[in-house]
Amino acid sequence: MNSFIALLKREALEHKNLWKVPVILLGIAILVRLAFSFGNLSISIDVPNAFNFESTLDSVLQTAVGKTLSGINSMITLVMFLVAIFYSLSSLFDERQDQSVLFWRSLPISDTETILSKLATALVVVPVIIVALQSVVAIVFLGFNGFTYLAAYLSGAVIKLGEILLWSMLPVISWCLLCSQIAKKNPFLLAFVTPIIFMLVDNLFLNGWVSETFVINRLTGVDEHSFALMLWGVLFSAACLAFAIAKRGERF
Amino acid sequence: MTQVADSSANFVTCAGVTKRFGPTTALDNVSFEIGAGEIVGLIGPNGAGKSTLLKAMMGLLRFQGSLSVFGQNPMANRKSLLKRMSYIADVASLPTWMRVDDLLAFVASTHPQFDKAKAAELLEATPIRLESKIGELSKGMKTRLHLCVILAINTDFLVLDEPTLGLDVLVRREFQDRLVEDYFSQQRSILITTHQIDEVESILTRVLFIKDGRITMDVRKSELKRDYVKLLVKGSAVISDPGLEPIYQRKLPDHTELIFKGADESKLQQYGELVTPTLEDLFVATNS
Repeated sequence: MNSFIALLKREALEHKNLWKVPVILLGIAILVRLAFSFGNLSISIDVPNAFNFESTLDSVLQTAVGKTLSGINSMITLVMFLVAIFYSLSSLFDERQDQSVLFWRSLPISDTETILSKLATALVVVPVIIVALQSVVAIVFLGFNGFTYLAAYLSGAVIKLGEILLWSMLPVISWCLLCSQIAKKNPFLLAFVTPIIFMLVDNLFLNGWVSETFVINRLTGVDEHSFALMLWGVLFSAACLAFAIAKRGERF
Repeated sequence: MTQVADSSANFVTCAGVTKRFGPTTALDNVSFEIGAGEIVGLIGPNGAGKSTLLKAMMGLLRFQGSLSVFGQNPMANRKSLLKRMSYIADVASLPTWMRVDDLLAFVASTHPQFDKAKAAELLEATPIRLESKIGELSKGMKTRLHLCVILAINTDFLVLDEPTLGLDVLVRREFQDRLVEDYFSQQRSILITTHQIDEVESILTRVLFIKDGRITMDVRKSELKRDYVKLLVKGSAVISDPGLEPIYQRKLPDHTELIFKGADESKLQQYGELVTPTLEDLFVATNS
C-alpha cells in the first residue's frame, strides 16, 4: 500500500501536466467569472452531448452564469480526459527512452504494480481531479448557491462520469498504455493509426460493422451501450494490460 | 575465503547459460557459482558478454540454461529476489526529472531494506544537495548519487555494472573502501564488472575473465599467487628446461616478461627475477 502511494506520487511528479492543466483550467474559469462581474461577456460553449451531464438542473442553470458554468464543467472533463490519454501514451515510453526503466526495475516493485499505478492515475486520480476542480469552479461561479448546485450536480455527474470511464476511458487508456509499452519509435502514431487502418480494412471487407461496434461506438455510444458490449471492453482492456505487463518484463 | 560446498547455499548458481542475439552468441555455456563473502570481478573487453550475463542475473533478459540467485529464477521471482539482491544496471539510469529528496523518499517507501538516514549521511560527504534536480547534476555526480543510494540498501548480494565509470580516483577509492567495509566484512557478496582491471584489482577476492561469451579463467586471488608467476629476464629469454613452457611472453625494451602457470619456481629462479603477475598480465596472457 505504501509503495502504491509512492508509485502514484511518482506519476504526479513525473507528469506535471496532471496538475498544471487543472490549475490553468481553474485560472480560465476565474477569468471568465470575473468577466461576468466586471466585463460584459456572454459566453456559450458548444460541447458534445456525451460530456453534458446535467439536464435536471434547469432551474439553477437559467442564468448566463449558470450556462457558462455548465460549459466550463464539460470543458474540464474533456480536457482532463485528453491529458489522461496523452499521459498514458507517454508514461511507459518515456521511461524506456531515458533508460530510467532500468532503475525502476531494480527496486522490488512488480511490473503489475507499476502498470496498475499508471492505470489508476488515469482512471482514478484524473476523475477525482475533474470532480474536485468542477466543485471549486461551481463555488467560484455561484458563491454559496454553489453548494446547492453541487449537491444536485454531483449526484448525477458522478454516475455519468463512471459510465464514461467504464465504457470509453478504460479501453482507451488500456490501449494507450499498451502502445506506450510496445511502440519502438512513436506510441502516438501507433495508438491512433492502428484503429484507423483497422476501420479502413473493416469498411472494405466487412461493411464497417465491427469497427462501428468496437471502435466508434466506444467514443460516441456511451448513452446507448449494452452490458455485453461493455464486458467486451473490459476484456479488451484486461488483455491490453496483461500484454503490456508481460512486455515490460522483457524489455531492458 | 569461504568455500561453499553445498550448492543450495550459493548466492548464485549459473549452469550452462547461453544467450544468442540473432547470429551472435553473447554468452556461450557459462557456468560458475558465487558464495557468501566474495568480491568477484567479472572482467573482459567491451562486447565480451559482461553486461548480458549481469542482465540475465538481474532478471532483465531471457536465456538458455539455468541460473538461480538465492535459489530463485531471476525473471520469474524478480520482486522477491530484489529484497536480497540490489544492482546498478547502468549508472546513467536515474530519472532526470526527479529531485534528490524525492528519489530518496521513493526508494524508502518501495524498498524495505533501504536505510534513508544512511543515504543522507553518505550524500552529506558529496556536493550533492537534497533539493537538486537529478537532471541538473553532472554525469559524475549522478553516478555518485546512484552509488550512495545502492550502498544504503542492505542486501546480501550487490551487482554492479561498470559502477565507477567516469569517477575520479579519490571518489573511486572511497567507494571501494566502503564496499569492503560494508560488504566483505559481513559475509555479503559483490559481483562487479569492469574493463579497466587496475580500477578494482585491489578489492577483489576472486576474478572471472570473460571473452567472446566464455569464462576463460576463474581464479581466487589467494590461488593466483600460488599458481601463476611472472619471470623477468634481462635481454631476450632462453628457457632450456622442457617442463617450463610460458603461457605468455612479452618483449620489452630492456627485459622480457614470461608468465608461467604451475611452474616450479625454484627452477625458474636461475633465469631472473620472480614476481606475482598482475591481473592485467593474466588477462592478456589468458586472452591472447
